[in-house]
Formats: sequence, structure tokens, C-alpha cells
Amino acid sequence: MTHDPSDSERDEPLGRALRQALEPAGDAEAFTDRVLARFERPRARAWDTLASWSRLGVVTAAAVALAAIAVLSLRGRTDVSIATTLAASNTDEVAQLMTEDDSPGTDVLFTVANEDD
Amino acid sequence: MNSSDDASLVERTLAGDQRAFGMLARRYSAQARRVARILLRNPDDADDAAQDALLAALANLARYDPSRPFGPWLMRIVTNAAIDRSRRRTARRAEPLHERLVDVGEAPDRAAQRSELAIRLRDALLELPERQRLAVTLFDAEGYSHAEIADILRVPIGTVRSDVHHARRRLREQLAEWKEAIE
Repeated sequence: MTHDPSDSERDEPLGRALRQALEPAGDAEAFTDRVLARFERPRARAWDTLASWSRLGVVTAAAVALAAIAVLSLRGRTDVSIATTLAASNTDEVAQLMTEDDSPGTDVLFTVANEDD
Repeated sequence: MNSSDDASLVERTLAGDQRAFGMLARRYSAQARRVARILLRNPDDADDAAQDALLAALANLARYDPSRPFGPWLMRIVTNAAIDRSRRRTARRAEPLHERLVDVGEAPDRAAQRSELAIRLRDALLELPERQRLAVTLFDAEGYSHAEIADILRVPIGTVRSDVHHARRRLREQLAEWKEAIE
């Protein structure tokens, strides 16, 4: 194959014509914006995942809270039942302890009731 | 294009600066679209390939060697993306290329002549083997050196010289009647 010495130089008119022939028809800015939007999408997906995790967390926390309330109310009901039994023993001290807002546990009430006995 | 500037934008992108990638994308998107179009007849396919290539480049940015120019590295990804898409599209019927390219403000006859030349030139390019198309366009239209094109196409530098030589000769033959319009 023979090389023309001009092979090492650019053919400017041909290059310009090629650029014009291959020039994209659409708006360059819109194209770049589309690329950047796709670049952003994986990040958005990551945030969506985190958000779904947090939603799951809220649901779990709510379930745990409901379970805790249920357990506490059960325990409360047991206390009332025992307290009612104790109140039936007509000990004023025990009745007073039971009606207070920060009423003590059943063990204290039993102790007080037993002391009265 | 300043290659040290490119390297700095790459460094900033890797550090999480999203605007830096935006600047890189703006700088190279027109060239990426033109190079993709050398291999893909359909302009929308070419744009999709250019887009895939820019995103692939971003995903693999940590593998880019900043001591070397960014353009050839990116153009290699663009050509790979376009070749890949071209292979996958072979079953699909090729759509005609004949549309647009009218510079606003030009006299209508001149604009029509340039538009016709663009069509003829794209058709003439399609007559060339893929590698010759790429070599002549990357050299004459995009300003890459023979060595850089050899790097992009993964062929010896002598092959690039030969491809440019043959491609120019065939393009000049086919466009002989358009010599005046080209110059």
C-alpha cells in the first residue's frame, strides 16, 4: 500500500463535511439532560429502597407498640383483678394504694395486705 | 479539549460531584452521538448507544487512567456500545437515513445542497467497512491522532493509517461531483 504524505495531515473540508453529515438532529441540551436524568435514576431508586425500609420500620414499630400495649393492658387487668380481691378485704391502706395514679405492683399490695393480716 | 481539565472533572465526579459529570457529558455528548452514528443508521439508535456509553463510562470511571486522554477512552466505549447495538439490530429492517440538516439562515438552495451532500456522504460512509468509517471520521472529523485511534480500535497504528488512506480515497471518488460543495 502506498501512503500519500498528506495522509498524516487532516483533510479539513472532508472532516467538516463529515461532522455536518453526522450531526445529530435533536437538541444537544435535551440529549444531555436525558443522560443526566438516567444518571440520577439509580440514586432515586436507592432512596426509594431506603424509604421502603423506613416504611417497613414504621409498620414494625407500630406492631411492636401495639403488642406492648396489649401485654401491658393484660398485666394491668391482672393487677386490677388482684387489687379488687384485695380491696374486698376492706383494708383502707390497700385501697388507697390502688387508687393512686402511680399505684405500686401487686407484690407491694400483697405485702401491705399481709402486714394488715 | 483540555485533557488535564477532563482528568480533573473525572476526579471530581469520582469524589461525588454530580455537576462535574454533567460538564463531561455536555463536553462529549455531540462527539459521542456522531461517532455512534457512524455505525448505526438510525439516529435514535445512535443516540441510545451514545447514552448507554456515557452511563457505562460513568459506571466504570474508576477504571479510567487519568494519565491518558479521556476522549479516546470514552470513544472506545462509544464504539463498543454502537457495535453492540448494531449487532443486536441486524434482524431489524434498517430505516432510511434521509432526513434533515438544514442550517438556519442559509440560502435555501445552498442549504438544500448541503443537505443533499450530507445524505450522500452518509451513504458513502455506509459503503465502507466499519473500521475504515471509524478511522476516517475519528481522524478527519473528530481530530484524534493515528495513535489514539489505534488505541480506540485496538489495532496497530499502521492499520489505522491504511484505513484512513483507503477510506479517504473511496469517499473522494464517490463525492467527486460534490468537491466544490465540500470545499
